[in-house]
Amino acid sequence: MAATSDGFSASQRAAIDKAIRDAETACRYEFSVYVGAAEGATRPFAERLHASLATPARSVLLMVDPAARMLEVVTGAEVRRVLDDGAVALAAAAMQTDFASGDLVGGITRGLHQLAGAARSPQVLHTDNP
Amino acid sequence: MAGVTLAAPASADTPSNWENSPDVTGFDALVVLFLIPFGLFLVISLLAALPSLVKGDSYEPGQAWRSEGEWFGGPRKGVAGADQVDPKQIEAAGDQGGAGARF
Repeated sequence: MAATSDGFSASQRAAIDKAIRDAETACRYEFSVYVGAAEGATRPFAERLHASLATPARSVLLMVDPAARMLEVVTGAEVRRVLDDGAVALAAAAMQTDFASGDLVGGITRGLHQLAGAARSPQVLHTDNP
Repeated sequence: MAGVTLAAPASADTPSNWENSPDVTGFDALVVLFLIPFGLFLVISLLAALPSLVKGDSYEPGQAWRSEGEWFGGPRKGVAGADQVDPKQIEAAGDQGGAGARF
């Protein structure tokens, strides 16, 4: 019988929770992270998870399936106006590096940080009105 | 001044009504000072490690994931809530975007 792990340790969970809080504070959108096996195809499953969130339009879901070695990021319609798919793909590429080396927590925290940085609304330094 | 300089040092002896304490052998000292604290150390360490021993090892970097799914910041229903999502609800969620990758 293969040895079983009990998922993340308390400190690893705390690190992921803190990364989520920091990301939400940075860009004021909702972040959610699912780590586990997808039921069926990965992308439709991730979209279902995203749609079941409280405010999907303002939410970003990061789904990692370690067994299938798949990663999906789903952004809501409102988030997508600021965080385009190209920026998400860049963050996914950054996460790939950590996930490929087996560092799930490091990849998740790095990805959240990068997504939040890209989703931060640009600061308007001047407007048309005087 | 003279009272201070001529005063004899204070002295006191063990009261005669106190019972004499028994002699402490080397073995007794060993038990009290070393064996009992070491035993307590072992018991406390075991109690602290017991939860993780019962649950199993937690995930380590590089280790294959063999655990149930964990959802951080997800709804209370968890994945069961996602199973109840119908396609109309996904359409109502709007224009979803994002990206995927294999690692």
